[in-house]
Amino acid sequence: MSNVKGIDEITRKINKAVANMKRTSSRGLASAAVYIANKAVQRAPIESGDLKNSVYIDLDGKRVAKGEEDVRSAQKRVGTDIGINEKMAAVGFCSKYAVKQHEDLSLRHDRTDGYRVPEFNQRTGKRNKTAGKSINLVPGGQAKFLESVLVEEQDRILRCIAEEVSLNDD
Amino acid sequence: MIDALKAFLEEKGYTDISLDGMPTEAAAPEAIGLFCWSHTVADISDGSGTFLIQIQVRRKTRQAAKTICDELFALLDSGLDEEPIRLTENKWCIARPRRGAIILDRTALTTTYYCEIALWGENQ
Repeated sequence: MSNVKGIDEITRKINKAVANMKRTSSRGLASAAVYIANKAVQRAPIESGDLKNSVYIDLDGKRVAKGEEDVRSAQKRVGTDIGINEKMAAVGFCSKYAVKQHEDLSLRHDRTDGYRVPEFNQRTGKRNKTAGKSINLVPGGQAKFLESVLVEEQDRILRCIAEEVSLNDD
Repeated sequence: MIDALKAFLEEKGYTDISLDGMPTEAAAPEAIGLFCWSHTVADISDGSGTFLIQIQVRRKTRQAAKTICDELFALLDSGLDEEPIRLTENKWCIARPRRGAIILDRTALTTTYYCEIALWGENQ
């Protein structure tokens, strides 16, 4: 009968690797959620900014970021106070018209760029800075602003998770 | 792909189909809109692509809108065996259902339902 040596050492290393993978995959999950949220905000239609600002990230059912600024800075928190041992992430928009804006592809999302055709006061000849018709339309976001990120960037999203796992693979 | 889909549906008897837009309710209360909202290709470029398509059906009654939307959703399903669907003489696809008929909008005059499918085929 042969005597196999080192089994305990191998088991210890495997257990350590599995524990490490659990921790780093939570970090990867949080990174992916932050990435998706930021990309979705970039694509969201803008009128008043309410929709973009209604973006949120939930980890294990707990809201960890709400609003455009919060989501933008969330990556710095990954690994410190978020992405520790969470197993589920959700990204969404909570504005009441978010669903309609997201789903209805027949809506136009153009907006004006703020330029106004100058209007002059006929009596004084001075330009009235607040009057005048806006004419320049620029792209103002798109429908499917969240779903399109998941569809078009699925490789990048999976890489977010994989990179965290492999970077911390000690 | 979306033009071929329009031709296919017209061949099946559906009318008033518009691409990437819907006519105003006043101009055409009953209409079908086809929207291609994403087109992805596989990492390995083999000449194929996936077209994500939303179909909107607007009718004067809720029941008619839902019935036609359900019909189109069932029609554009290649099934578990991924049977190719020949859209036109030289255009085929494999159609996968993504989202069944859901209400999108209702006004005093009309109701709009939508469904979503993915068409995989030639990348054009």
